Amino acid sequence: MNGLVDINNKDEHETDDEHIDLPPEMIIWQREEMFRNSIIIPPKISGAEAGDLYIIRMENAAIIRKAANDIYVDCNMLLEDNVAHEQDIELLRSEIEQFREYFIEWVAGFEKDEYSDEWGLF
Amino acid sequence: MIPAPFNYAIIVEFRYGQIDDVPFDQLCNALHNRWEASDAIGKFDGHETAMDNFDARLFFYTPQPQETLAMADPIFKDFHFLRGAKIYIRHGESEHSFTETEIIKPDGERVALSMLDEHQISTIPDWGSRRQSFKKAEAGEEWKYSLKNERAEKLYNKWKEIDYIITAICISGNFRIRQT
Repeated sequence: MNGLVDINNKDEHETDDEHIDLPPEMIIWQREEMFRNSIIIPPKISGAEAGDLYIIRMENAAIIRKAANDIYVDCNMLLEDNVAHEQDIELLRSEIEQFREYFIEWVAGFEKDEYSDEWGLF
Repeated sequence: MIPAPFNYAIIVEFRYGQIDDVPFDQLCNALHNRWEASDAIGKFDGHETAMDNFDARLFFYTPQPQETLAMADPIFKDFHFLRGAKIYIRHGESEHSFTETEIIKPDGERVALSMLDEHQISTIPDWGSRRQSFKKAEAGEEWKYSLKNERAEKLYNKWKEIDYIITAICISGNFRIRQT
C-alpha cells in the first residue's frame, strides 16, 4: 500500500477529514501545477485586452477560468497533506472567490464583433 | 539532470516582456562570450523564452554557484529587464533537491530571498507596464474602453495579490502568510 486511501474500502469510522498521505513527489508536482496555473493568468488578462478581439477575449477568459478553478480545487490537496495551513488556504479561496466576481464583471463587458470563430466555439 | 563534474544547477527566471528580441540576444551573447573564456567557472547552458516573450530563463551548471554568479553579475547589471529576476540555485541530482533562491534587486545587486516577505516573491509586473488595447476608441466611445480597461486592471491586480499567496505556498509550504 503506498499510503493512498482507497475510498471504496474506507473504514466506516474514517471520515473525509482524516489525513491522506501522498508521495512527496506528488505533493511537489501539485504545488508546481498550482504555480504554473497562477502565472498563466496575468498574461491572459493583458493579452485579452491587447487585441480587443472577441474570440481572443473569450478564449483567454476560458483559460483563466480553468486555471483559477484548478487552483481552487488543488487547495483540497494542500490541506489534506498539510502542505499549507488551513488559514492560508481559506485566505486563498476567499481571494479566488473575489477574483471570480471581478471576472464576471470583466466578461460582462465583452462585445461580440464581426469576426466569426472558425472553430465554432465562441 | 546535472552533468558531471557540476554539482549545482542555476536557473535565472525573469519577466522579459518585450517584443524586440535584440536586448535578450545581446544578454545571451554576452554570457556565451564570458563563458568561453578559460577562467570561466561552470557552464552557461543556454536559455528558453515563452513564445510571447513574457518570461524567460537562463541555465547554468557549476561546481561553485556563488563564484559563477559573481562572474555573471557585471553582465546581469547591464540588462535592466533582469531586475526582479529570481535565481534558483539547486544542489544535487534530483530536480526536487535543496534549492536556494536569490533575487536581483532594483539596484542590480543580488540578495537572498526571504520567503516570508510576500512582496518580494511575485514577479508579475504592474498593470501600468502592460499593454492596453491597440484599437482606437471611436469618438464618444472612449468611456467604454476606459471601463473595459478598469475592469481588466482590477482583475489583473487581484490576481497579482493572489499570486503572492500561491507563490508563498508553492515555494515554502507550512508557514503562515502575513495578513495585510
